[in-house]
Amino acid sequence: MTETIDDVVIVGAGASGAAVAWRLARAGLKVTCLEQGDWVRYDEVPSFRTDWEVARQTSHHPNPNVRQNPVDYPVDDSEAAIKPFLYNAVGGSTILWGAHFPRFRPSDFRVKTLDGVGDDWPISYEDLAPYYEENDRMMGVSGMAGDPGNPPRLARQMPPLPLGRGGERMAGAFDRLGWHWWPCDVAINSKPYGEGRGGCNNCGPCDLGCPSGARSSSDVTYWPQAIRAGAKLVTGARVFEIETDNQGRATGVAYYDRDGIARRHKAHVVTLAANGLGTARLMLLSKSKRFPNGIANDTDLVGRRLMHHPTGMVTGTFDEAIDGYAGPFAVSILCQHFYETDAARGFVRGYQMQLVRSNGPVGTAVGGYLPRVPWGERHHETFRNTFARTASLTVTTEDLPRLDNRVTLSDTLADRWGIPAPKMTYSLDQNTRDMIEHGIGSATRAFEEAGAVAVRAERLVVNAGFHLLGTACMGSDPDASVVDGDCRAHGVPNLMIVDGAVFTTSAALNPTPTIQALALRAADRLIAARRGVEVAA
Amino acid sequence: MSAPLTHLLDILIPGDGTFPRPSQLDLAEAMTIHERFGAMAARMVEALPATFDAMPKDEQVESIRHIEADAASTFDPFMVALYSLYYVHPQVLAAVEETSGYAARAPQPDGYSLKPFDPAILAIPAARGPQYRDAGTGSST
Ligand SMILES: Cc1cc2nc3c(=O)[nH]c(=O)nc-3n(C[C@H](O)[C@H](O)[C@H](O)COP(=O)(O)OP(=O)(O)OC[C@H]3O[C@@H](n4cnc5c(N)ncnc54)[C@H](O)[C@@H]3O)c2cc1C
Repeated sequence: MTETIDDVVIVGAGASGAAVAWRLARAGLKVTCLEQGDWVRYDEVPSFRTDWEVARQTSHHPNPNVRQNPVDYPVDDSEAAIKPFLYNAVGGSTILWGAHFPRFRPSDFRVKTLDGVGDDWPISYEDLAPYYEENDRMMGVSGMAGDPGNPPRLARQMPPLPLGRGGERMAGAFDRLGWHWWPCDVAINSKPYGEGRGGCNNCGPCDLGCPSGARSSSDVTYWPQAIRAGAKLVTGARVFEIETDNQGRATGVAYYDRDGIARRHKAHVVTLAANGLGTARLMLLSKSKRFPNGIANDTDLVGRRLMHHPTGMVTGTFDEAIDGYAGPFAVSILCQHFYETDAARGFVRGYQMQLVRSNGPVGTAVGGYLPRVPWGERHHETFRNTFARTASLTVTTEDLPRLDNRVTLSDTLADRWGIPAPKMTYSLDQNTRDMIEHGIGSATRAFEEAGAVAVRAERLVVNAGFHLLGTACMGSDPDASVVDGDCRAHGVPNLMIVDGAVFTTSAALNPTPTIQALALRAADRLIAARRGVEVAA
Repeated sequence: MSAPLTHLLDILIPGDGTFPRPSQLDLAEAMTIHERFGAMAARMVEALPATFDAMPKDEQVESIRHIEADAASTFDPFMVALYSLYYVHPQVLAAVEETSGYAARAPQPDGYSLKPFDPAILAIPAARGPQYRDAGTGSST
């Protein structure tokens, strides 16, 4: 093994790794990020080809077990009710993401105090607010300030994206029902913004890579600036262990390079940004005399409290084309009318309804928002009545933390270098099922109000494990949490975790703005405390 | 290329007016040689009764329904493969264009034009007072 020493080594170059690298490098720290994936090339994205939809089912499928690209690691999901969605590359899962960019609400950080469930975060919305603003500026947000559904914020960098005909119809329906809605905050340029990034041309499949850079991803937003500030990024590097000294302080990481050669990278501080799934896996892999159950896992909480956003999906079919294949697939308008707890509904906490557009011909036929178009004599008739005529509302619920929903190490699966795969064990509780059921009722009503001729619901979208949260949770009590409010591991002062693993609770909103704001804040807290941080001798 | 596969595909997607049958597109061949989908096609053909080709149409349909119900791990990926290859074929895309107005071209570089956002649509929601809950942490409503 060869050795180098840095101030900070970061594992993972996705949404959070990029943000923390930029912030630390800009403050003059010597930073290296190790990423198992590669840079994405935007001159050859599949959406330039007429067979672009094949890529969605193969090389760009969000489930690594289906995709099976050489840089991926497999996930044992044999006991998981929701399947994992993520990507391994510089940019991480933001390479595939829909770029819906909502902030959590103040109440999301206080669910124990307000509703007696889950736990309060040790920090508040107000602690994060300046970092949300900073992150918005770095990623570039199209939207409209002034939403009465959320605390005030600065003017968005760009005006909202077009709502599309589906969005306009549903906005009218929400208005008639008296339900609050607002155009989504979206990390997609509605006009040119950022370094060499153009405006969106509504092509649709953001997940296949955006050749103009209009759809943000951390490889085109944070990374160029981080590298200019001095951060080093090593690709093809799979970290398999966080190493520690006798006192249990982190000394660096061990990884396989792209040729499978084991190497060591020493640093005063180790920062994990490997996604809520990858981070728990790596912590559990990092066993030593001092940490027989994995690093910072004396409480047996690492990997536990896995949260998703269990999602129901309601699709309305209209009697005319609304051209939902045009425009960014995941974003249009957001309804948070049922977001906060209302005891009369029979469940605690709430859900968002996010209007998503629709699919191309293959996506329509194979199903997703709607069931697969049936084969046989009526195949084309069904296809004609469906394609370009649908819009869907997600019912995205808040998942409350439970100890038995967890990530462990798989006994049966490993990646190409033999590193054990993570295993997800996950089921839904009754509160979540009740919430989804209520949401399906609400979304159905909205589509009926909008004039849909058919409305169909999927009670649980199995392929919706986009948000992997809570597996190294944040709290002020070292006996009941893994990291403190500054994202530093209770038992290992020079181990910092900055991805969605640290979420105390999940809220019912897409998590990435909160993940990145937390990462920026953690970096600032580390910079401020730098001389006081206990590092290995 | 196997005869049962050609036969099977035409039962699954019979084609009509503007939409061609898979056999008119040599789809069985394309599927068989496809890097990822070839294996799915092979598994599906293995799952068919040995006498599939010689069976009357209603028995063929029945045998496919059995596989769909009892061997989803074979059938579902196979259908993804079939629909994926069928609905990206230029002749099928031309039929989709004719039936829906969807342009039979790649999404890039031209994209689609959509009506820009008009803030007037926000008249009702913008007039509301605060809609979020006071958490007692400073962002009071
Ligand atoms: C299809 C899809 C759509 C989504 N849409 C949205 C959306 O609209 N809005 C939203 O807020 N969120 C969305 N998300 C989720 C969003 O992408 C994630 O929340 C976000 O990227 C998480 O950031 P992260 O830094 O924690 O992890 P990631 O961005 O996943 O990055 C982790 C990185 O760590 C690397 N890594 C992991 N393990 C190792 C290791 N051992 N060694 C080296 N490198 C390692 C991985 O290769 C990866 O690049 C979506 C996700 C998907 C998949």
